Amino acid sequence: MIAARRGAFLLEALLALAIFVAMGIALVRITDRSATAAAGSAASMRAFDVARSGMALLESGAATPETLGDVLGSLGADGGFEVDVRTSPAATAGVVDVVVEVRARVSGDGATASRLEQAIVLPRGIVEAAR
Amino acid sequence: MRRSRSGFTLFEVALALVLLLALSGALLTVTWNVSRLSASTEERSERETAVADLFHRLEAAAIGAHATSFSGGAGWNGDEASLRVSMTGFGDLPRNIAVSYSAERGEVELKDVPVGTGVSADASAALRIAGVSRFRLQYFVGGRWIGAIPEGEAPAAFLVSLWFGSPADADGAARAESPPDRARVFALLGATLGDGE
Repeated sequence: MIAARRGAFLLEALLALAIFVAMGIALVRITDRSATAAAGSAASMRAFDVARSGMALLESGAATPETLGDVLGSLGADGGFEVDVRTSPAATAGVVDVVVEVRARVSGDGATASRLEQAIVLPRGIVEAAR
Repeated sequence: MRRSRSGFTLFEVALALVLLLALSGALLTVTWNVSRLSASTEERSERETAVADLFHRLEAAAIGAHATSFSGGAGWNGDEASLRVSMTGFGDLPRNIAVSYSAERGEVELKDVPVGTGVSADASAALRIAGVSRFRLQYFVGGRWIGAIPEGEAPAAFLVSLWFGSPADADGAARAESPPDRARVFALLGATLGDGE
């Protein structure tokens, strides 16, 4: 009877241990997942910064569609992203449709991290180049 | 024989103690790591949100900026660590937006003071971003990027760069030499509209 009671005690202890370990693993996983989600959200914000900066550089005449990636890099404002720019004349004279796409350089999957499409008034030299 | 069955042996008690200590140690380590990760994630998230708010307000300032201030001076004044803009928002009262950086506190501060409402220019900051090891403003004037707005001129664009970390911390100082953690260029629409076709 005593031996049986001892066996039950060991089983109880093992079960408690298993529950304890499972809870610990779950806690670590949840925290890790929330940290990954926060990092992803921060990366999205940076990608948006790059896209918005690209549009502002074009609007202000500080860069052309051809030089945008280099200018962003030289200013330290590319955030480690690749930038792709496409322009096409809009229906209104002097206005150009600009699409700025930002992709992660490291991940390699080519997925677009941020995309901005805007009809903007570009400085004269850039408008002529976009036509 | 009967006595030995009424309790635990020394070996069992020692084993139980060792297990208890090992589990307590593991629990403490996990709890410590989880709470540290959670605190740093929360701090980072709050800082990123505050930077997004700063950029949002500066974007509004770039759109609604005045060439002259409400007291008759230049509407734009800025150097590498501070910027003041006089602006009118959409449907808002005229206001002065001032951004400055304190290297001692590692803090960026934005003040948003409505003009003509009796609110003092020393009004408390509308926004504070702590944990900034370096802050830099650059202005695109006359076809080049410079560190201060020349008197009587308005920039066509300006760049805000922030590096996170503590300025006193060695890690923060090292990170300040690498590319910024957040950077954004803002265009002054009024400066470029005149150049368009």
